[in-house]
Amino acid sequence: MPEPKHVTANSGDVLLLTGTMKGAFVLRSDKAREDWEVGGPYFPGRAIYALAYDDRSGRHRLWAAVNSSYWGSYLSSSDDFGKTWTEPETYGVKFPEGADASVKQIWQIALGHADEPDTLYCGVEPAALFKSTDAGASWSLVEGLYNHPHRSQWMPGGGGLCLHTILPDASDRKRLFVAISTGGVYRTDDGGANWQPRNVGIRAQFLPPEQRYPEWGQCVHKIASNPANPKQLFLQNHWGLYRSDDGGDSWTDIANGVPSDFGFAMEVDPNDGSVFIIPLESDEFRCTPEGKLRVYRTRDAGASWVATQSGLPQENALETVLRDGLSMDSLQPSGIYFGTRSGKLFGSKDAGESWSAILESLPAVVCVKTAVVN
Amino acid sequence: MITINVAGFLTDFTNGRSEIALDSQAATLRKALANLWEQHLGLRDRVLNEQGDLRPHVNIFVNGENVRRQQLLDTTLPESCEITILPSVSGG
Repeated sequence: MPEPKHVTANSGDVLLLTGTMKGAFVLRSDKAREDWEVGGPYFPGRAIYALAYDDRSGRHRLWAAVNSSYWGSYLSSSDDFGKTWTEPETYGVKFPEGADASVKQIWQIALGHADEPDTLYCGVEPAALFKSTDAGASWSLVEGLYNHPHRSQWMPGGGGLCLHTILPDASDRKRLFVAISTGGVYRTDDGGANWQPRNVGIRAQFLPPEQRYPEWGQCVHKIASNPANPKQLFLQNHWGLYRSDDGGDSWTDIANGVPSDFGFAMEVDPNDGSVFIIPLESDEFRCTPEGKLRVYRTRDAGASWVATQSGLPQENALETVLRDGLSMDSLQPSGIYFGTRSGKLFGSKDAGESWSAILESLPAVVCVKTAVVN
Repeated sequence: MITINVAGFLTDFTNGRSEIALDSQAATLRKALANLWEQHLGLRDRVLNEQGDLRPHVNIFVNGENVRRQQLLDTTLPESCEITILPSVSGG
């Protein structure tokens, strides 16, 4: 196995957490974001679909979802930016004994609401949500969602039946959104006891015409919220781009001028609410249209989209960026980063105006997350 | 006498030992593994899922015979046997 390199991060540095099909990497730069120091590979050979950075309550903790086709899935953490990682004797994220499910893969790690600094969430396949209220020391199944009457009818998408997105509402500590492929968007308004589907207006292209707008069952690929206006949400569907201005109660098509409304990744700029997506050509091909690698941005909530592509390959670039392959930092101007299935990692330190390659020979990238070290 | 062989990654959870002699008898593989977990708990969740089923890409052999062709964890054990836990051929 390769000997990992390590980074040392200081306050103000930017972290670029990169999960691949063959391990995790921790990249570090100062706030100029010109040069990146690379730590890793960590967990060589393991697929790392989820990474997170928890800097609440004085922590500097990295989280990784370590997935092995042999040995199962578990969470590991590092309090020294990757130099050492926990290897738990027993797995924490698991269904109760006697349940009709076992964890196939951990897809997402998310921090809880701001006033709950010890709360973490995990989304898994088969679709279920787990919660920790002790900063990840122990986990329990969110039974309100597990016992939902729709659960038995959710169907797996191409990647499996996964709960891949967890979105706490910044303005309401009892409200949380999750997205499931293929189940759709669900929202709780009471801290997880009860869940309602929130998919009005979202198309299910794979159903017969008269059934294309079901209450639930859509293949939602990603949802993101506007930090300045948490009731405003954006959604990349399996065919379809949408915005909600009412906390998910209804959705409006905003695929105005994009080369394809199919795609996976979606991010909202924490500084100005711009939305970024990377359209892909069709659900059969799933590559960037016209052989051009373009990141589309809207600054008017989806009324219009423009391609950002300066510095990105524009010939023979048949790339795929997956649902967690795009991430933004909170510096000014915003940094935006994405990784491809072909192992390339690109970044922009000016909110997409110009791009450059950061790394080009990684294993397939499935997760990119950023953080600014406090 | 029941001896259990593990290799590679799994020895991280056996203090580096690749051969473990069980200190009690067991009529079935399930009971032998339960005894193994008492000695090396870290092996359990890596070999079995949380419902107690053998992970799909892990194989266990009893005296060289794959228990998937027998009764899985309910495979009966002779008084003396060698159990080997191995990852299957998979990946990419």
